[in-house]
Amino acid sequence: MFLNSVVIVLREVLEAAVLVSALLALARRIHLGQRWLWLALPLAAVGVALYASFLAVITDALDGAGQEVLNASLQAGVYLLLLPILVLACSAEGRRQWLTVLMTLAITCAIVRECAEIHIYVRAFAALGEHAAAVWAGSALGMGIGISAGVLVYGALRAMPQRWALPGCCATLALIGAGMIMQATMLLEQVDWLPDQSPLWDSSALLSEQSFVGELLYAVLGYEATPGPLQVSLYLGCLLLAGIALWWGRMGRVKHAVQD
Amino acid sequence: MKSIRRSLVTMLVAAFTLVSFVAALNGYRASMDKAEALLDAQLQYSAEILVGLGGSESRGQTLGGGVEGFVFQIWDAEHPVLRSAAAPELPITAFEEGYRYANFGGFRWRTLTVSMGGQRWGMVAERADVRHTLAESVVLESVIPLLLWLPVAALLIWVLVGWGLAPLRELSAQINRKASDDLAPLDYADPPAELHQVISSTNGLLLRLAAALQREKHFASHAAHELRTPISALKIHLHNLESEVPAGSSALQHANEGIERMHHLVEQLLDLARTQPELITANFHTIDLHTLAQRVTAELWPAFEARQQSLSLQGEPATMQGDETMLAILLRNLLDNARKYTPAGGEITVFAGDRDGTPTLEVADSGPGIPSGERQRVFERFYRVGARAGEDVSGAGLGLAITQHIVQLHGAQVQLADSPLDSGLAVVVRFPNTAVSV
Repeated sequence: MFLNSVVIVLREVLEAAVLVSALLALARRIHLGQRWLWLALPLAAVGVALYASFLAVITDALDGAGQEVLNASLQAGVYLLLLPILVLACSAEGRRQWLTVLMTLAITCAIVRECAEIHIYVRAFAALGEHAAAVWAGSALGMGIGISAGVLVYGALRAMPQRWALPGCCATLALIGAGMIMQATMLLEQVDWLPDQSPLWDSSALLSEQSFVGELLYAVLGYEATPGPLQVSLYLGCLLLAGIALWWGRMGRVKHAVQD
Repeated sequence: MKSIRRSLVTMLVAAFTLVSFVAALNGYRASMDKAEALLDAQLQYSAEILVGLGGSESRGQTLGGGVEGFVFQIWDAEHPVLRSAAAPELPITAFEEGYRYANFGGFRWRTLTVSMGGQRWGMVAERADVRHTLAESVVLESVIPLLLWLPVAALLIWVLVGWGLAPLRELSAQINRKASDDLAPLDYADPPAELHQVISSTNGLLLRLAAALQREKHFASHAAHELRTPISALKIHLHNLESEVPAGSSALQHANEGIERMHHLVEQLLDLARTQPELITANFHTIDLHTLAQRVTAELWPAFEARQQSLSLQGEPATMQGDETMLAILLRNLLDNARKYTPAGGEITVFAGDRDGTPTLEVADSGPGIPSGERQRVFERFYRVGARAGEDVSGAGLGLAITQHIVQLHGAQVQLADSPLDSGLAVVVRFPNTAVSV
């Protein structure tokens, strides 16, 4: 129970922590402030509470596929919000209000997605008295590892040389976004909304998904030891789209500079 | 503001948490393996005891009671000899020596088969979940304190980082303690290697700054002499010329006005250079602000009378620490401005005394005033308010910049407000009511 708690909480917290870290580092780089984070946290808390309250309704919806479809939608939503964030962050100054709104929504979606799962898991298993200590200890350990890794990712992004700081933050966000799409496809495959395909490769012998590095790469890159062709295609397509968004934003900045 | 201590503590706590928690996780895994091995050894021991009891020739016997989560069976050539009450009738595992897992009775079990020689088999089983919970509860006893002690570790890191940054704080305090005119090198005995370069660079900078300020000081004093002398000579020549040209000559009048403007500008520039807080060593004494104002207003009275302006002084004696010469320049500048910008026949009031327990100097006029949006800019050198600049008023836009210097020198505050008269501007200077040490 302890180990299960660690793995479940770590997987969810790590993903949200790395996303928050990358957005925080990006906001610092473009002098945006942290208002979006303080707006997102209460919104996410309300979202998690609503998710947990209507869990039965969500689970029964869409012939029992409701929870998976909602989670996949939240993850896809995060990716779709990250695209304009990348464009605006790389383009000229201004449009700060839009960035604030987009970042608030992206963080809210990500935290609702990740924390709702943790909330449901911990509430269900901690109620079993004999396992409560293991569940709480495992959750605390998983949360500690996840948040610490997020803080260190933030530190690494902030420590980057000025020249590489913005590309570094944007590349991390692009990878996280593509990873979220990868996870969303897995969820939709689970409920047969997408066809189950035979894996292109099996790298579990090289790097287990359950190892710490495997979990970290799952959170940052959407690492999957046995990905299908659809997952790999979508992942690469999303990365390409993020690359186009970055290029578009950069072109906007160059155009702005020339006009000035 | 970014704090080195906060950033360091956050990163260190994160690194410590990550490493110690991952280590705890590995420790948990290793401990659980060890605990499993111990429980397996205990199962083996139980099995060996049962083997010793397995000599009965009776068949199909069942023993009542027993331990919860533990069952056994003894078989003779696939015929049951003895079993615990909770054990099923069928073999709980294979007739082959070794550990395995099996499912029966609604639970998962860890089983062990031992051979008793010939056709006899002893089988023992323990519920896997009970074993796991038992092992986990023991192992968690070593993991939970790590979580509970984390805040203590964070506090220790906070304190230690604070100690580590103490030399930086000391250096910062030393720089803060320096008076504005103290350009002596920093005195930091045996600095840490990380601060050595900072101290060395700062001292080099202070040295260059001291030399530059010294040069500027010399320039100001030399320029005073070199500029005033030819202007005075020009004035004398113009005075002599008055007797040689026809009376009322406009050329001579313009030349006189030009010389006066130049004289005023030179005096203002020299005042500006002389009053720079970085350049001068102020000569602070206990002075009476009201007496000083009396003297200066009396000196300037003829100029106001020439424009039919009323000049009044209000207030009462107010002692304070200040440089009398500088304060006289300050008041002269404020009165000059008031006189120039107040129309003929206007009113100027001076207040010098205590106001709300603070030595205060206020010069108010009934002129056009300054729009509130421009009030901050008038302290900039050579800045003249647009509407006023269009008027026929001579000036270089340096008066309030000089005032600002003298205000800074005294640690005072200057404020531009609406005049208490019908219209116009009030310049209010509030001095600190304690002794000033510069």
